[in-house]
Amino acid sequence: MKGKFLNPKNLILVGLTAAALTTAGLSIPQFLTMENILNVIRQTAIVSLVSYGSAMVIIVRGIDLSVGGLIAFCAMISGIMMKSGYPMVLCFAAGILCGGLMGLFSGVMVEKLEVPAFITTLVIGQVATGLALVLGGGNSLGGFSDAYVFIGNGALLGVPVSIYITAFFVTLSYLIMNRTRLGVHIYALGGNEQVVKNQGVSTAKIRYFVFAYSGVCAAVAGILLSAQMNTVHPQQGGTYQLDAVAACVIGGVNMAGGEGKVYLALAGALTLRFLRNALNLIGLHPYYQNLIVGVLLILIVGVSMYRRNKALEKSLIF
Amino acid sequence: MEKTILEMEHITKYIYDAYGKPIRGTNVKILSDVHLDVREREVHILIGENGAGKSTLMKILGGIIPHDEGTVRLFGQEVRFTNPRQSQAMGVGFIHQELDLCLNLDVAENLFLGQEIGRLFSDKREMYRQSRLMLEKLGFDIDPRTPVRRLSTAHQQMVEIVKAVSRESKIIIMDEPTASLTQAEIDHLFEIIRNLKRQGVSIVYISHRFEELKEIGDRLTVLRDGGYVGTIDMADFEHGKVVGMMVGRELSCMYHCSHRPEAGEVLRVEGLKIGPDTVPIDLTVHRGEVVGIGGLVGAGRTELAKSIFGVRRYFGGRIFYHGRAVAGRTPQQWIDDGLMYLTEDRKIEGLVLPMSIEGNITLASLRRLFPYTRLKPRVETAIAREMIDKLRIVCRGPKQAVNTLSGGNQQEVVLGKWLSAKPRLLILDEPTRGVDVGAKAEIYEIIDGLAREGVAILMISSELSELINMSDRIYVMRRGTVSAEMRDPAAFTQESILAHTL
Repeated sequence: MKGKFLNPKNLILVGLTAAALTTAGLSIPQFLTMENILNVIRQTAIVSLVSYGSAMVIIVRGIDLSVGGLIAFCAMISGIMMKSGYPMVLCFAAGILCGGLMGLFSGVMVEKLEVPAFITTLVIGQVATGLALVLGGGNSLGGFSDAYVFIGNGALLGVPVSIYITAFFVTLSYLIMNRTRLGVHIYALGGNEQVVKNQGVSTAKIRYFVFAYSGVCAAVAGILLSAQMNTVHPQQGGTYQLDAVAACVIGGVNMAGGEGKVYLALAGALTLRFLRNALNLIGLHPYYQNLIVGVLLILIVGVSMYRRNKALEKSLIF
Repeated sequence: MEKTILEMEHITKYIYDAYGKPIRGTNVKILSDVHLDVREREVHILIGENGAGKSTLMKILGGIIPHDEGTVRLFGQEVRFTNPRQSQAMGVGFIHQELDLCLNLDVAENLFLGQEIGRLFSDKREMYRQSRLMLEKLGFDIDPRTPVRRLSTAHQQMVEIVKAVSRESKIIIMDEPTASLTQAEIDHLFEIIRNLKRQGVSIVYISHRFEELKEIGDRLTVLRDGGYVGTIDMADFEHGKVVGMMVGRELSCMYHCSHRPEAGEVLRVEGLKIGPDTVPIDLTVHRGEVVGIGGLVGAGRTELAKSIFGVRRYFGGRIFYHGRAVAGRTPQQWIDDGLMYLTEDRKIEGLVLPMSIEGNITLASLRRLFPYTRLKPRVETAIAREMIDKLRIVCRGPKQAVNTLSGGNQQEVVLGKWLSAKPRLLILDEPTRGVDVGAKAEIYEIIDGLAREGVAILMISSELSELINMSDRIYVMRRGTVSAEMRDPAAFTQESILAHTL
């Protein structure tokens, strides 16, 4: 296993990342301050949470474009309930349940009606954004309880609460993907759907779970994001949509399905957030940041698919 | 005599789509009133030409598609499987013709797919241990942690065999298991089969290789065009008789071979390498000549055709068309110049399934017919009608969608597409795959007619009788290159062709 992880390709990646961080640290004075690093980690928590679900959906040859909408909608649901005085745990549960159900609905559309995942989830995302706007009357919601803000910005034993949450979900995702039969079935579905069917395994259950899980991840991310900002903004999902996919791609999840590790999506999210942060600190406008992230994404996807096709061509045996 | 453990009677299945759902608005049968009975400890051979319904019958037994009419009795109990898991639970194992493995998973994960050990968390260590034991028991030297992608085709086939054997199956279906194995590996497989028989397992064995059948089989059932022909003991096996049962009608009325090759060279290929490390290929086709290309699936026949046609890159060599060297042509340029390629899989590469017959037929000639972009529906319909009459396509009219046609008529629509584009050289890749006998005879007649008009034909086929009876010359391919050229039609025999395929 050790040899597998420390192969030349990974070493190059680690080296490049280290070089980039060092350069940024040396040239940008604020970059390596404790405050800035904590800031980046908090933002990473949000992106990485979304990316675990996105990675699973990509592994079954789908894509989840509803996460942006769900980040806003689910946070809005729980925010409105908190404002109405319901207990916080109940509000969280309701928001997460909504995310899960919306994801499940996407899964049903994809499995039963064979609607392409990107269409289904794109529309569900729009509906969720619409609902967030309607529920909030187009306005932001702010001024939440100290307990809620603590979840977003507080720390336990010197470690931000956000880290506990993302750590919990990356562990959960890892266990599902690597230790359960469901995980093997998820990879199998992405590898060859017919084989899964021939074994009599229900592809419906796999898809329902994966899409629902992605919805849950987005909901948790949304609620955490609002806790960090002490605000629910009806369009707060915006950039996270692209960033979640970018985190997966940087983390090596194969866009053609079947391959990828959820914990590497966390690494991808971290890299991405540090990049955005560095661009921020040198004073680059967010518009340009999206441009750069987008170009980076296309480059990585392009190169990895090119390499894959080359490898396929070479592996032809007559 | 051993007792009968499986009886399939009067099995009928209507044409279905890729998801196993019956297609509405058709009563085309792919299986009609088929019988099969299998006894304990028996290797039962199932034989028939491509499209005879063997695989479909086995998919019914394996629970992958349900039958529409008839009864299936397994161990005396009547069953109708709607899910592969039900048939697995009853002890039916299935080694599929197409590789039934997830390439991205490792060997153990594939072996246990759907039957993982452990409750909440799967017990990986135990699964690796058991996988290793199973592989060792059958004498395969494969590490269960290897991703299947890294295994050779033969090793992948072995994993499939282990998978079917490991699940304590009582009946194991083997659909052409030896297609990609070497002789030593085949001997090993037969050893395993004999062991299984001793343990009380029955095998349904599908294969085309007569030598093998005599060695391993106990009884033999022949299917033809989705119908049942008969069952015989292997003791009564006679080569000519079985071929007669498979082919059915008189060969003479099946094949039309009235064309005569002419002198003009149409296509010459020199030193073409279809893979980075394959032996170069030389090949010529003349006017009015039908040149057959034989060989096993995976020998590189389709890759050769696609390399010539410009849809796939090749690794060196030169192509001459009517004596002129051509390089880097696109399919569009080839079609404009009269070279066309009828693909192997009409549903994926040959037809736009939801589109009408006329839409499909004019698809390749749109540029020639309507150089000023604007389509003229009346012209399209007229051309489609002409082709429907000429090729005797059975349909309600040119507007009917092609996915409601039978396989034979679909194939004729693809042929019609290329004929209306006026070919000078037509590459046919398995022109009669999945087509009933009547339609086959019609397709042969069309091919012969084209050759008589001077069209050069390059015909890839897995059906030996088709190669033997239609071709003026035959190239046999093996491992990505031409292993033999056979020039004398009188010397074409199944044995002489097979000798060069392995």
